[in-house]
Parts: sequence; structure tokens; C-alpha cells
Amino acid sequence: MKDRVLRGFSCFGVVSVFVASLLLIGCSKKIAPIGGASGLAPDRPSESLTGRSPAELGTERGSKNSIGEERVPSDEGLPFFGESAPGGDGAGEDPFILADGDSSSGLRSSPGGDEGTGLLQDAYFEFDQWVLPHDAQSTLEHNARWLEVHPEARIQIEGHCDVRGTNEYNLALGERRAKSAMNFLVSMGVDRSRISFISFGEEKNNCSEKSEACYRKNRRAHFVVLEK
Amino acid sequence: MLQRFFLLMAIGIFLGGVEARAADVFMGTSRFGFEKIPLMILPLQGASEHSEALLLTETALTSDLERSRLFRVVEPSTIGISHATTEAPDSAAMRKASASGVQALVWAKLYTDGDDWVLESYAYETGKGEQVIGVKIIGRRESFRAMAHRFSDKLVHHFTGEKGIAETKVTFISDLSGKKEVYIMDYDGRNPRRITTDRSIALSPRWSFNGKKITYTSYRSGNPDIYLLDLSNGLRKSLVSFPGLNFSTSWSPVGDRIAYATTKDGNAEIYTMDPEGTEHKRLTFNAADDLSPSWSPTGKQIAFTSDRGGGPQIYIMDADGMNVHRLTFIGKYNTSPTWSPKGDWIAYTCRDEEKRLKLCADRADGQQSIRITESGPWDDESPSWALNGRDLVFTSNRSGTNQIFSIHLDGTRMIRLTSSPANNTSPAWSPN
Repeated sequence: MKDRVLRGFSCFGVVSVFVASLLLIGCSKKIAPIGGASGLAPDRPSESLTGRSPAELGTERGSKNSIGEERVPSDEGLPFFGESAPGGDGAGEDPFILADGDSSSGLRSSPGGDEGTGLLQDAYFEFDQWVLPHDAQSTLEHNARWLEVHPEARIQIEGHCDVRGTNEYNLALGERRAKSAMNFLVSMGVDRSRISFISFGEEKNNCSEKSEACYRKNRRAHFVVLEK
Repeated sequence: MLQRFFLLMAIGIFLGGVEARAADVFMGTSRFGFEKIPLMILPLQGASEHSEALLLTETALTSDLERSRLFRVVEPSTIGISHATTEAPDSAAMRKASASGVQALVWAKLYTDGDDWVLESYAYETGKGEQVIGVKIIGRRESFRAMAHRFSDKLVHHFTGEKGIAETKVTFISDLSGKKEVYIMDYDGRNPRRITTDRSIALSPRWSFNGKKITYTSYRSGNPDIYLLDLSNGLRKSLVSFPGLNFSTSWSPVGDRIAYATTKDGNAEIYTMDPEGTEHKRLTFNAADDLSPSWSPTGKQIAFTSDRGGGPQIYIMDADGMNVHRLTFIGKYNTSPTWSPKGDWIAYTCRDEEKRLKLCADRADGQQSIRITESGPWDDESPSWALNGRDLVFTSNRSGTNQIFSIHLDGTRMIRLTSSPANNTSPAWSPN
């Protein structure tokens, strides 16, 4: 990080290091008589540094113990990867203080709130498992019948997990759940080409309470009817 | 798990060159074996109208030094040194400090120089009565903390030979904006900034070997794909967009390869590629899921998660995919390995008997396994090492929402870094 921002000052930096090293050679490590008023010349604009020789600097400071200079990076240099030009989106200036109440709403898929409302039902899984339990199979049989009478419909199966796993492993687990559901539908006679799948792991949960009821709601294959 | 705990109690687990000379001390039962260097910060000097800036800077410096765990910050008043002038400490003060056991005397003054601020920073070894650091640290108005961090890292480096971590950053995911986006903050949780606006789901940001780039997974195009953010020019690049999941990146220590996982072959497999997103090479061939690779600091091996044995466990393979062996054997669920930059430990997320996620670590040679975070009805996950190989950042929901904490490998000094009501997760500590 610092290298990046320092690059702009590299010329300055090189000079500084050079100055510092020369001065260090010439001055042994003694207890510094660097008193403020009598010590360093105050408030010398750093730009002028480039125009002076190390020797001049040393004498001007009136100190046997002149020191090197270096600059810390400014966070203003941090880039922003937005769609629009920085500024248009509040460019990286999120007030990182209080979220306004429903900060996570954008991350939740409303249960059954997609196009499949009431038509295709979620299939639920056991903890850590991607094998379909019995009740999930009944759900999928229902979904297969719906697909049978809507032969034009194409669906995407979303695999989800509760939060009790780790994020990356849950992505893989969510995909296995989506595939389990897909394979079952295919075994029921649904054309594979009508089905796509995606895993959201634990990233798009229905609820966030620490209860088995909530965990179960999140361990699901969710069905979305795709627009034609 | 209990075994792990006793192991932890029974050994000192301080690492690296710094502690080597204190090795005898922690062979006993003490977890605080390393004797900290007594250091005294003389009151920061500056104009009275700058009192706020002075306080800010001094507080940041003190906090950095205490957090380093390498110094014991001694109050000047406790040994009767008063220092209210702009003069450097005189030899009498130096002797007094030395006689009281203070090994390092720190002194600085803060003043403006045009639009710049200057922290003129000095340190002395009291025993020798010598100035050992003298430097003008220059920054803009908002950079007081950064200037203090720089000074702190210089002190750490001089007195221990080690690189300090005060100037490092942490990248993480926050849903503060309503969507999960990538953020970067200072190592102490200050200055958090959002750097993406995907308005989708961003996951698992990881630093490049030199801290100039970040790879992460985003659903911004609909599918979870891997992207590269170049912090030096603000450009984003799509690296991996196979059908299926493309996720869990890890940069090789010299930056020539990026390991990642993809499910394009039907289940998660680990590949490597060059940083341009080409020359993909498959490393694992297994019907189970293989994911979450983490390079060893030598670049010769990769730790990863695999459920080839049933539940997920940590495995190690050579960087070419050969010589796979299992590392973890305690517990049924061990994931998200992260190899210490010092090479000796691999930290990961384990699951305890109460089905709660906790942080654990094994020696890379498998000879020792420890539990880092304590039991309790919450989850700790996603560990990532600081460059010193001792401190880790991680996510915990112990306070309700997910927040980012840091902790020492020995389980002490836990510090909460984020505090917004949003969920802050998946931290990665910068390598420099």
C-alpha cells in the first residue's frame, strides 16, 4: 500500500534517503542536541529540498544531528472501483458509522417472493447435508408436477446454507444442494436443459436469528422461474 | 478440543526471531514469556493550538506500541521524569530512565510546514545514551494516525529487528451499503473505506503478494466470478468466469501464480493461474470438493480444504498438486486454512462439540494442534495472518452481528476492529 502512494514522491524519497545517508555518515550517534528553538530550522517547505545539497541542509539546520525525511501515504489515494466516475456514487465515502435500519434487506431473498411464488416450493436440507430428505423429495415431486404442466417454464435452482458453516465451504455445499434438487427433478422426467443452478452459500439468507427454525429456513434449494 | 486447550496452556507459542532470545522464559507455563521492552514516551511537543492533533498522534502511537506486545509503555511520571520543554531529553533524564529500567526513550514534536504536518520523531537507547532513530515523518492533515503508525513501526523494527504491523491494512466485506462490497481499513479498524460498488454480492477479498492488488469473488455479472482490483490504477479485471462457482483465491508468495477453486468440472477443484487469468492448471482430481487454497510462504506447498475423507478437513499438497496429505484430525469440520507468513503454523476454522465455529491452528508439520478462541455460543471464522505471524484477524458474531476482531495466536489480546451495525466479514490482512 505505502509503496503505491509513495511512488508519487519517489523522486523526493530518493533525495531524502541520499541526504539522510550522507548525514548519518557524518554524524555519530550522540545524544541529540536537537532542542526545538535552537535545533532544527522550522517550517522549511519540503519542495525546496531538491534544490539544495546535503551539506547546505546540514548547516542551515544548525544542528549536528540533522535527520532524514519521509512521507506517509494519504488515504485519498485509495481507488474506487465504481461503475460511474468517482463522486457519482459517493465514491468510497461510505459513512462507516450507522446503517439505516435495514442495511441487510438487499441481501435477502424474500421467501417465495420471486416469480415462483406459491408455485414452486423450497426444499429443505439437514445440517451439513446435501442429500435430499424425505419431505424435500415430496416438495420436489410437487415442483416436478408444476413443471410438467408448464412445459415452457425454465427455472434456476438456488442452493443456500445456514450460517453455521464457513463461507467458502458453504458455497460448495450450496451448489451440491442445488444439484441434488436438479438431479431429482431430472429423474422425475424434467428436461435438464430447462434447469440452471447457482449457489449462494450463506450469502443470501432468509433470516438471521440464531435458532434452529431460522437455520432450517436457510438450508434450502430455492426455485426461481426465469423470465422468457 | 480440551486437549488443544491444555496444549495451549502448557506451551509458549511465541514465534520468530524476536522471541528466540526469550525462549528460556516461556518453556514454563507462562503464556506471556516474552519480556517486553520497557519504553517511555515523553509528552509530545507542539504548539498549544495543536493540542488536539498532539493528543491524537500520541494516543495512536501509544496504542500502536502497546498493541505490538513488544513494548511495555512506562508513564514518565512514574519515575519522576518531567518533560515540558521542546528540548530533547538530556543526559540526566536518560540516566534516570535507564536506572529505572526504561530501555527506550521516545520523543517527538509535531508542527506544520505549509500544508504538511511534520512529526519529528526520535528514539534513544538509554543504556548507551544514544539516539537511534531520528526522522521527520511528513503527512497531510488527516494523516496523524498514519504518521504515528510509521513511527511505531520504526520503533518495532529498531528494537526487535522485526517488521511492524501498524502500517498494514485489512480488506474485508461489509453489507453497510445494503449489499456486500469490498472495504479496506487500517490495521486498527480506523479509516474504513468501501472500494467496490458492485451492488451484488462480493466475497473473500485477498491481497496480492505486494499488497497492490486484490482478488475477490463477485456475483456482479450474475455468476460468482473472480475479479482483480488493481489498487494502483483503479482498474478491475475479470480473471475467472467459468460456469459454476469461481472462488477462494490465494496469491503465491512471489505473485507469479494465483490459486483458486472452481466447480466447472462438476465439483470444486483447485487450479492455479497466472495473474493475467491465463495458463490455468488443475491441481486436484477428486470427486470431493477441494477449495480454499492457501500458499506456504516458500511457495512450495498449498494448504486447502477437502471433504474427500467425509467431512471437510485441512490437507496439504505440493504446489504442483502432488504429495497430498491430511493435516487435521481433531473434530469433524475444519475449513479455511491460512498459512502463517512465517511458515510454522496453519490457522483454520474448526467446529467444536457445540457445533460452533472457532479458530484453531496446527503446526505445518502436524506435530501440534491448538485451539485459539474460547468456547461460547457464537461463531469465529475466516482467520487471516498479520505479517508478523503472531496476530490474526477473523470474523465473529459474538456481539450479535458479524464483526472483525484481531487476536494473538495464543488466544490473548482480542481486539474488536469494526463496530458498525452492518455485518463485517471475511477479513484479509495485507502482506505489507
